[in-house]
Amino acid sequence: MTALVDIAGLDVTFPLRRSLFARPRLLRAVAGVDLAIGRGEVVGLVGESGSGKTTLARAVMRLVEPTAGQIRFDGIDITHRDRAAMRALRRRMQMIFQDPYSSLNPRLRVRDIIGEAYAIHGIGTPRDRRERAEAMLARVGLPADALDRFPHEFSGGQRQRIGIARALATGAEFVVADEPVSALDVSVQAQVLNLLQDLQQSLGLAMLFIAHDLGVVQHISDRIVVLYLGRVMEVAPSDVLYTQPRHPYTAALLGATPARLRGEIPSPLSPPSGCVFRTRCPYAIAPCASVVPRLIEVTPGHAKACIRDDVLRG
Amino acid sequence: MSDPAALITVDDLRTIFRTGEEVARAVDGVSFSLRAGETLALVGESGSGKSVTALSIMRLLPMPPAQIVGRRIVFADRGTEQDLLTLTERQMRRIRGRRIAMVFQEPMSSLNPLLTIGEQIAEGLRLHLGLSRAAAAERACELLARVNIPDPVRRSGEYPHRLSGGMRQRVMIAAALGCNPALLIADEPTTALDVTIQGQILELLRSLQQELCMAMLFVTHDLGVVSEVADRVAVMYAGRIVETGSRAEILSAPRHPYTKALLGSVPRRRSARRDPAARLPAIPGQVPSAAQLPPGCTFAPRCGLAIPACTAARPALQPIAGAHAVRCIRWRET
Amino acid sequence: MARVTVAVSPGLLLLHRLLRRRLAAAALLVLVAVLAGGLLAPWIVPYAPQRMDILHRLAAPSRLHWLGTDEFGRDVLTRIVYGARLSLLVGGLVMLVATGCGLLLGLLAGYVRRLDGVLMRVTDALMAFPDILLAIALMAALGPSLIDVVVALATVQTPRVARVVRGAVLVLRELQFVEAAEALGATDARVMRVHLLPNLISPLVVQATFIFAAAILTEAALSFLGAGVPPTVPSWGNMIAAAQLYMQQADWLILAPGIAILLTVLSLQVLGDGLRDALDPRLRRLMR
Repeated sequence: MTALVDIAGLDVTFPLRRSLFARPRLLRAVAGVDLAIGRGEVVGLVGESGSGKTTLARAVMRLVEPTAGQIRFDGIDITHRDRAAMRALRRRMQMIFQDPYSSLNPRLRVRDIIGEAYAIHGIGTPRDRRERAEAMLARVGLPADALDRFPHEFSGGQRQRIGIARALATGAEFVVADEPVSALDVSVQAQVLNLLQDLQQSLGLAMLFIAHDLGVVQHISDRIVVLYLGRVMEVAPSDVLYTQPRHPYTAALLGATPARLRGEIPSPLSPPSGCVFRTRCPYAIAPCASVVPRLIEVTPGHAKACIRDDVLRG
Repeated sequence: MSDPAALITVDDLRTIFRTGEEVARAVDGVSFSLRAGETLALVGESGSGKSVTALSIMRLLPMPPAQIVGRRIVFADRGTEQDLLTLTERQMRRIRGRRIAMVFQEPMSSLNPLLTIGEQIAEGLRLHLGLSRAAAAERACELLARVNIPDPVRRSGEYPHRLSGGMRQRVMIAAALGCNPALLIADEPTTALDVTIQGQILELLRSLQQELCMAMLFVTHDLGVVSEVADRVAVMYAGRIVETGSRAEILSAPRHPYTKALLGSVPRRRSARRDPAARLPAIPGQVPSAAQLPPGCTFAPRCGLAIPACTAARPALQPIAGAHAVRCIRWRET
Repeated sequence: MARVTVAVSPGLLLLHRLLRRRLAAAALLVLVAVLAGGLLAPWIVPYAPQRMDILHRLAAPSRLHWLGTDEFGRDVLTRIVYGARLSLLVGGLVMLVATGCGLLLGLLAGYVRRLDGVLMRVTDALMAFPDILLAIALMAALGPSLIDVVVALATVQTPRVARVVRGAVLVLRELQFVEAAEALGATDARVMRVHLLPNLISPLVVQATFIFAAAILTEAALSFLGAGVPPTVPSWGNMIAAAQLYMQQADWLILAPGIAILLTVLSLQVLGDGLRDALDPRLRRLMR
């Protein structure tokens, strides 16, 4: 079965111009990422700052143009597709944003925020769009009278629900959720996570769920990808990742390493040679500086990018 | 319940905000005490009043909209006892930064982008300790080294924007500790930092605290952080402390419905096998606005155990065992 | 007891906040008075503006002539009110044209990256000239008529609006709701119309009041220098120019138009300040 979303060798590099005359420095936000998401599958993408997870999300949604590599959606190559051509496909792939306070236009009423999806894609007649919007709101647990209100009248959690309703209004099959609960309080996080899980299961959505914390993605993800400085460190089914992490970085994120990680996350502008994680890795050895580890399969479906096979076997 | 050995005793603190006709009761009767060398974690979500409590102690709230209406904050430092709420601004300034220091959540906005980090640390030292420029600069380097900033002499000449978030937070901590304060108030110091850096900063704070025998008031919403730094915990909801006790008591044997629900709703690994049908136990509803607090127990509208008696009167903080106390009339059944 | 919540649009909120500031409210009153005077001029003035009464030239303010008469015996009050008409007309037209053009240019410069460089260099060039000089130069090229004055002043003011709008667009462009619209598949035109434009109204309205004020001042300056509207049309500026000769004997001739300009421009500035404060996002955050 072909994957719904197939990302191969994705590279997104930004030139940073320091001055008019100097050669621009290159920021390699995403470096050679391979990732496939099947229909109805939830892939959790975890990384800290500088990991490139946000850039990856935007590249998949084609809000940012990849520098190299390929992105296929349902078999169609969308890597360099222009805006007009992308429009029809956007009906099937949508995004949920992180900040509940800036992801909704403060000047639009909720009915117009959700209604925009219908307007752009010509869904329904203007008359029944209100009913559709009401149904959408009901799905995310908001009352119908919310339609006539403005975003500032809602709490953070409610705004995220509106954002979810907007993303699902077009009937998308694939949703990129970019840290959808990071800006919410703990008790509200749980509500929204439950909602996302309900919707994903009832609608059979494929999802790329991005987070900075492994705890958040555990319930909802089938598989998890761990990203560091734009590179994939480990990929595994959810259960396996938590019980048998094989990459030192994953273990550190889980709090499973005995010692704390030293040092800071390097700047993506000057990544370390060889394995980018070696500067903080408790198991780094000399060859780590010269060899870029490839993603090697450990067991079927479980791969890691580390040249050492002798660590974390317990 | 006053502790004679306490360094600071907050006694029935009430802070309100007046906006137009509305009066928001951000802190509605909070009491706790803290000894030297001890860490108290003030835990709550947004709207719980934990940050306002911290800012009230430091008297850093803008006084027109904010008003502290009671009752006392007794600071017993170096033999003298003072009620911080009665001090003049001038007297407060001698305490702020010197005897009570604060570290904030966003290091970027707490650091002046136009001063090098060495200058910023030295500024406080010159102000409070009257050190000369040279002596202050030298001490600043020592402090930077103490917070584990590599190559401190060179780094002290750098500007904040060149440092990462974790580094900046260390600088903040160095600046805060420059005068050897008796109490450090940390308001969500690790929230804006990456997971792998958080641990480093917490470890640093703990070791500094032990070395300097400093009391620490740690404000946070993150229960994971609580388990790492706290000796005692006070859980806040809608401006009141709903449960307080030792770290072990609160994290392993909570008795207040809110504390239990909060611990339960944290997304954390529970079992080895993932259960697709499982959902996180979520607390229905949302935190009430400080301007419209429900009558009686403020958690009642969202509580699974609520009975009419809960809304009738405000429950008192009842002791359970030792220092473990809970503000709930049905705690025996939780 | 149930609480009734009303959906309050951001516009209503703004008006409410604005009116709570007494100074801005007072300024608004003054402007409404000026506007009313200008609109109702033909019906409320005691005399025709060109009516000369040589016998009573340079008469001090009296019951017959509340603000006195000028060197041709024309009633000063009448001419002030008609001058208000002109100032409001010119100011209003310039405001509309400059705001409209500036909005368009600023939107394009801010949102369409390719056009940004070119457009900003053009505005830089225009802004490099002092306002009056540029206005005079344009008037010399265009000729002395009302329309030409409006064109000249609008050209001078448009770059300022364009800059402000561009700055606002640069900020808005990065907000997630714009990204969300792009993710939905919105065209550039739709993004500009539905998402950017409504959020630009606030800074635009503030700028508009300042432009109104600047236009009135510049028009007065041009008329004063004789480079503005034809001298037969009553303008506060040419009234001051003519009054220079008679400063010693008839100071009301200078004071009346001078104070008129002062009050109007000051009120516009105060109103603009009030609007800007009322729109301050920091205040909005307190309401969250």
